Amino acid sequence: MNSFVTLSKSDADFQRYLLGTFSSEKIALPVQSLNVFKSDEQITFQVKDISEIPKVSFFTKWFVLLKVKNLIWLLWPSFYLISQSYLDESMLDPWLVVLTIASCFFAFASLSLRNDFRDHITGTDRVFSKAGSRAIQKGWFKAYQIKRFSVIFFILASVLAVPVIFAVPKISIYILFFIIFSVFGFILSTTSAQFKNFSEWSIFWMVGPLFAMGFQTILIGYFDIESIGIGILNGYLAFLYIQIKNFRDIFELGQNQLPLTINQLGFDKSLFRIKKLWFSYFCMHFIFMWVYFDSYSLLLFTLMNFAIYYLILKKSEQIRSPLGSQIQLFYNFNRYCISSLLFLWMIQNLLIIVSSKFYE
Amino acid sequence: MALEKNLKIYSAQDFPSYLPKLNDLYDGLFSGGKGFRAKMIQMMSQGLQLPAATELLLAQTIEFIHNASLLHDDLVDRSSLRRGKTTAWLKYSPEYAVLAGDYLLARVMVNLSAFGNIQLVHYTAQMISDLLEGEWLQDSIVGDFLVELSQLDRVHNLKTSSLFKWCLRAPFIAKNVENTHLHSTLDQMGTLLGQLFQRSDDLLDFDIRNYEGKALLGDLKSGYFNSFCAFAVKDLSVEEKKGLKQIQSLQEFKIKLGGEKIFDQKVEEFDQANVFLIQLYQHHLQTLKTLLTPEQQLILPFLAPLTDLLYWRKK
Repeated sequence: MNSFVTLSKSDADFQRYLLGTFSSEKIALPVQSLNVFKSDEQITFQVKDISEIPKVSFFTKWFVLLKVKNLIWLLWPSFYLISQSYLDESMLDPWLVVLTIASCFFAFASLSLRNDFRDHITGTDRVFSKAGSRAIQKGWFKAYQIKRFSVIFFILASVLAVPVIFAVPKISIYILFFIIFSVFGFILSTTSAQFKNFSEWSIFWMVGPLFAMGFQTILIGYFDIESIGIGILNGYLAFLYIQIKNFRDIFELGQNQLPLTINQLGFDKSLFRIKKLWFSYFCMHFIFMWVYFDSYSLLLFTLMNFAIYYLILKKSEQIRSPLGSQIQLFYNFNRYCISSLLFLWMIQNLLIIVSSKFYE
Repeated sequence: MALEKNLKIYSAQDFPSYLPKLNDLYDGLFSGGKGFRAKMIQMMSQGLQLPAATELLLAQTIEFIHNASLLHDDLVDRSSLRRGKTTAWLKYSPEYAVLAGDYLLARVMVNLSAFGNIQLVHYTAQMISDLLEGEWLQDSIVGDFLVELSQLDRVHNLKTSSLFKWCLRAPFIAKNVENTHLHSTLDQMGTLLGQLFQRSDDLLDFDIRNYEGKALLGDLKSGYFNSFCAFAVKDLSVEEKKGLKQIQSLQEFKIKLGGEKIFDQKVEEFDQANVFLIQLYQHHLQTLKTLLTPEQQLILPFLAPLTDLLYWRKK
């Protein structure tokens, strides 16, 4: 017989069950929620012994928890800028680069965990069945542990960033802006219709121009137009990805009246907007390739982008419902397209490096 | 029980005799139905000692809304039979079926607003809105052979559970009981009852506990994966799922699934998943007990066996 506990927000034990601090031997998994995001929220928890949770390897748990696949948003521009500085032989100090990457990894992990924790406390992960890592829902970690990990990673990121800041003091301004965008972007994402544009575009700045300019400054002491370009492309793609993810969740977003553009536009206009965003991305990508790459690469990527765009248009025609499988398949397909695009670009960059060394 | 026979008329203005076909259409539609939701209202109302007129109003409301949805649903699905009879849109015309459904919803609003409980009017309007949203969403996933059970649950929460929630909460609202915790608990119980009822109804399509001899595979043949179907085929490949479109008999379905044994195993797993919901319902029932006054606790003996009735189809 399963054991359940129902608690309202006003109950003294509500937070303890939500955080998981109510017991060291047991775990409380939310199985039914009512009035999420409201002051009279009520959650029914299934209370289990920790030993009842299916065993999963340490590696799997952490891989899922840290959302390692999302690191692509930092890895790709870092890789691109490192390869450029390697080709130009302009890298100032490789150790600073290693420290920066490690610091960024921990900052990203901290932010991601903080986001999972916040989603659990606010109820977002109860409304959106696919939100976050789902590590808390699976009973792998308790919410309070996630919060602790987030703090530890933040401290690690800060400690690793100190020597970098001392070596390149002007990097502080980028870090400051990064913090502003991350804090306000997340806070305003579910609370403010007025600042929804700022909130939604914060991801563009964080993994886009801000990151690329800052990273290149550490690499070679200054930033150039190319780094702004790669930052814009990366940030724009990340923004587009978030819009596609929001579109997949349009039903839940609508039911909970969250202040997001997808919600404001509705199903048909949002889908059209995603197609427009893809088109503008491909235009920017074309210009970037035209300016910085040879005609062979330009032709190859232009053809590939055309093919991707055509397939996205075809896939979008199949979506009839905000709930069925097609919208999920559309999201999956878009994700594959983004991953393939970035992966191929990485391969192409590697080939350039290899060939340039070969001709030397 | 005389209540079902009298549901047609709550106010003297209901169903005027001068409207051609309307009375005939209503009488044809209502006879043969189980009136289960009206019975739920009756039990709840009597437990709460509501006046007979209020009980009649609530029972009429839920049956009118349910039947309006059937009138419209049959037309949307192009169904030819309802309760063993020719559906209204075929017997009369699609226009009459739409108008009759609209008329039932209009009478609900007229009678409820005359009753004067604005909270009840608002809640009922919200329930109708949820019901229609559910119908709309369900139609949008017809032909989707990759749909998942969790996605269907969301449709059922709107389409089916909204009516059950109303049956549990409306008598309390009519009695002006405003305890938020009580209503939250009833809401969650209604959600579970709706899901269990829908899942049990979906099993009938596969001849499980089909004591009334309902036609088999109706959903699948019309291109709709119901909850059991989505659950049973979740491990099949995309191509295998698409192949289910051509299935004409239950035997064929079982073969596609891997044989009789696998089919029985899937039914058992499905039942097991729903036992979890039943346990959750029993948990809420215990909470409810603590929220009711001694007089109100008269409804508990009626609420306790509902899962047996709705899911296990025990008489």
